[in-house]
Amino acid sequence: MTRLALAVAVFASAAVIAAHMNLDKTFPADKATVTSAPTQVQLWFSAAPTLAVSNITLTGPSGKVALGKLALGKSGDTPDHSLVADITGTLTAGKHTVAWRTSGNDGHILTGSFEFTFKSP
Amino acid sequence: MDWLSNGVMFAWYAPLLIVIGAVGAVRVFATSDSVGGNTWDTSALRIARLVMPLVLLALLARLWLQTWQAFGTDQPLTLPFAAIIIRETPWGQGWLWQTAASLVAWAMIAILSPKRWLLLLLAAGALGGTVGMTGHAAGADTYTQLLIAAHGVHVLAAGLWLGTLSIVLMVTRPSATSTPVPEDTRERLARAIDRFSPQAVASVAVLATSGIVAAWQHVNSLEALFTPYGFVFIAKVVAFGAAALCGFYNWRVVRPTLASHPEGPAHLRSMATLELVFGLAALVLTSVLTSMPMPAHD
Repeated sequence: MTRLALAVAVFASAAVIAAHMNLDKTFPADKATVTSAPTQVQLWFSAAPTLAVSNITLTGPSGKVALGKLALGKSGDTPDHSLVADITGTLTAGKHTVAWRTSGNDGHILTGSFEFTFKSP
Repeated sequence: MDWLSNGVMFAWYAPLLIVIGAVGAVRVFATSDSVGGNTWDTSALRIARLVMPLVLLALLARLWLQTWQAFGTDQPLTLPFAAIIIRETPWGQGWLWQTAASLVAWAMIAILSPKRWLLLLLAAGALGGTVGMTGHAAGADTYTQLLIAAHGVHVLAAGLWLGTLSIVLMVTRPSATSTPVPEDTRERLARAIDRFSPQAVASVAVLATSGIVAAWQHVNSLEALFTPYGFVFIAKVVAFGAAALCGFYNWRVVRPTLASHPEGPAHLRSMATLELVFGLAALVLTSVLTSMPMPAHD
């Protein structure tokens, strides 16, 4: 009985601290207004995103803005659960939308978008 | 697309539970079948052999769906895309293990005789044990292996309870529905149910324990119960509770009268059918849950 209770406790505590993947923050931040053109977009998640099924698009007032190759972000040498892409196209003033798609290790496909406004100085 | 995800998950879970249940039924019939010429254990194994290809077809459907969802419905669905899923994603690695385990299980079920029920149970264990590798448990940051194991044990227990019950009803139907049911048939059925009862009771206990683990992982706050995921989860718990209640009645009230009472088999059939209906409802709701975003994603 004690062993059973112990097993249940271990299972339960394991479950409580298990995390699920969410979008934590972005760069530029959602609904932010920036006056200098960002050189990259980056999205941080609560767990490691799967690069192979990830995709990011950036759309501005003049249409799609070209992005460089999508990569996993790092903090120093350590992966920091982020996706990052250089902005290779030219930003025009106005509202920009970043649409993203990725999945965690459970394969559940997550999609979303965020916006930022670029005001040329 | 949700209905498609739910349908594919159901199309995978249902044959999986039937195969696991059929193997459990082979164990249940192992002694009760030794008297007389009616080979209930062989019939149970035949069902496992017939249904096993459906498990593999459902796995192919899951890969197709995952590829489609991952690359977007605007992309053509091609083998190279599927290969990327298999080679470059953790989900794909899990799918590969599931497929390998299913092929091994299929071979064992095809080759082994009912007398080797212990090895057949190992095959069922391989089927159930790999289920969590492509589920929500695989996305956990910590104690991942433990949670994947809990998911596998959950499915295995569901199979050994409701899957086995459905096979027992199916296989014994021709001889247990004749009127009146011969005394020796009632005794054989009673022996089988006596052997099934501890398996079912243990399975319900394991289901409840591993279910608590999953609930803690996926619905770990009161607010989460008031999300679409939470509502479906509550409905599943109610369906599970109703099935368990029917099972308790069958165990404590119907089973003791099975051999002695002429109406025993009929009584068992009607109550066990009700138990299965609630179990099926729980299975349908599980299929919905597995393809829903968890509360934290809302």
